[in-house]
Amino acid sequence: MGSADRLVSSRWGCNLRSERARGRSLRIYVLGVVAIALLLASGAPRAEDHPDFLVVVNTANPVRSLTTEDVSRLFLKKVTAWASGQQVLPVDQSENSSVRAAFTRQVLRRKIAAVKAYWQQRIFSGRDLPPPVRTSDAEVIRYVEANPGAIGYLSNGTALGEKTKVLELLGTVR
Amino acid sequence: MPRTSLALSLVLAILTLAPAAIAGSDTGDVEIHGYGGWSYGRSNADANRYLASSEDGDARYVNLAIALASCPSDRVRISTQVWWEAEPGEEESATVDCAFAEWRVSDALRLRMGQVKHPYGIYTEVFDVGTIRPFFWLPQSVYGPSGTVAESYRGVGLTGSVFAAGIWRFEYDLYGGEMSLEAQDIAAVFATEEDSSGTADAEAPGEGDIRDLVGGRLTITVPGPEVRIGLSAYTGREKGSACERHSCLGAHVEYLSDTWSLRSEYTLLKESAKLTAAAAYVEVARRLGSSWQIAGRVDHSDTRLEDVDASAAPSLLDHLDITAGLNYWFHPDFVVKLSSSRVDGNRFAWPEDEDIRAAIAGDGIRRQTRLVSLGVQFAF
Repeated sequence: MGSADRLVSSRWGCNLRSERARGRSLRIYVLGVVAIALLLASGAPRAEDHPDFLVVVNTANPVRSLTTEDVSRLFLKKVTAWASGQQVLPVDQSENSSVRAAFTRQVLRRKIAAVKAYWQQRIFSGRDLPPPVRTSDAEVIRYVEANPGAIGYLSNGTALGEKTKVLELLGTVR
Repeated sequence: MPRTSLALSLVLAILTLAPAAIAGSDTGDVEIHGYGGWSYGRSNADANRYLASSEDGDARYVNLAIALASCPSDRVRISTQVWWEAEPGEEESATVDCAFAEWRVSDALRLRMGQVKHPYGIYTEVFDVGTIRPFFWLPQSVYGPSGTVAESYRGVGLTGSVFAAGIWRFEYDLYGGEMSLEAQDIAAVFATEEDSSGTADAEAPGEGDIRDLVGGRLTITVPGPEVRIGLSAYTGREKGSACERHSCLGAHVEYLSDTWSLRSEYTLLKESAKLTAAAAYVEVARRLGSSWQIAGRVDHSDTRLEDVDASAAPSLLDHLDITAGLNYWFHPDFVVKLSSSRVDGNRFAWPEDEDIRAAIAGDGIRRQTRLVSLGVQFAF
């Protein structure tokens, strides 16, 4: 199409093109929404049998078990208080650690990149801040022992501190 | 000292003096985060200004934001953000995006006061954060200078979330105060012609203040796949006018997974009896492996002016943008984006003043604009 064709001065020409454009965009919009619905109907995540981590809290915390969904909500700060009213203080491990990769995949059910995007959305909308990061199991234990409302995760087999206890995870760990 | 220099000096001073707490916060620490980007845009129509591009290519668009946040207690959070932008043909600008305090009564009730990010639709609270979206530029029908949404409001708001039946999550926002909207006074272009002054001024986007503002947003997260569905609305009066009501109603749906992101919004804007604008877009992106991503978007708006004869340049009221993109993610915090857009209509691919004058005189306007954009966006 030549440039002269793109120069439209006729009122009727403009209106016709505009109507065609509206019709086309409406069709594409509807197709897009249908595509969304089809994608949502597909696929459940695969399940794994054994978690590669331990979820721990302070011994002063009366909670003994949580579902993986509950733990996910606590770490994403969708729930910020324990049933007692005490503030939940989740603590994360280093992005490069294998235990964080396992926890993120099996509990948060996302890749670390997706979780980072979630926190960017929360940070820059002024809604929340991500949990503090500790770089080793020992540091996580220290944090949990120093904060009665804390919840963290450790590599499976890590020796616990005196004021740390393991929570039973209910439901399927994916 | 110019305002821009003052703001940048302030940010540098804060960065120097604040405790280093970038990796995550404990109560009382100040967390420092930021994001920014640069883009190069090349279009086929110098006459139409669209998204920092020109016919010869333009690489002058740069932005940077620094956000500071702190939780001095378990119930109080302070959030601030400073924004700097250099845009072709515009003066460099530095502004305060937000500065507010939040008091948490419970998860279901938080009180926010100050200049707060505007809770409307999907992107208003994260307007320029490029690392959480597939395209460098937001869909202009909703987020362009259409007077539809603002980045923040000044006033008081309530927000909170609750779980229903253990799985459905409801998040709400209610707010009141005032806000500033970026918009072109498109009716004035045609009104000037009616005045026969012969100087139709296609003014660059300016700010219009909305006072007596009340609004809200309700978002529902559906159990199973992470699908969020929401409704947003606000209404207020245009400043300096006793009766000019400015109202907006919108709906959105968002689905995010490790592989797919799908977003769609619809908004209806009404400015008293003088303007009605409907806008909608669908945006889809798919990750290919850990680094590559492909994306597509259709963005459309239709503006109608009441009691104004726009027949001399009707394309000024239309917008249809079809964009395809290819991204490479070096890291979740650093992405390079390449996109190609085909735009029909001049609602946001705004012509030069002389072209509008010529169009109104009967010479027509170039409706179509093509744009290739290469951009880098990062966050920390």
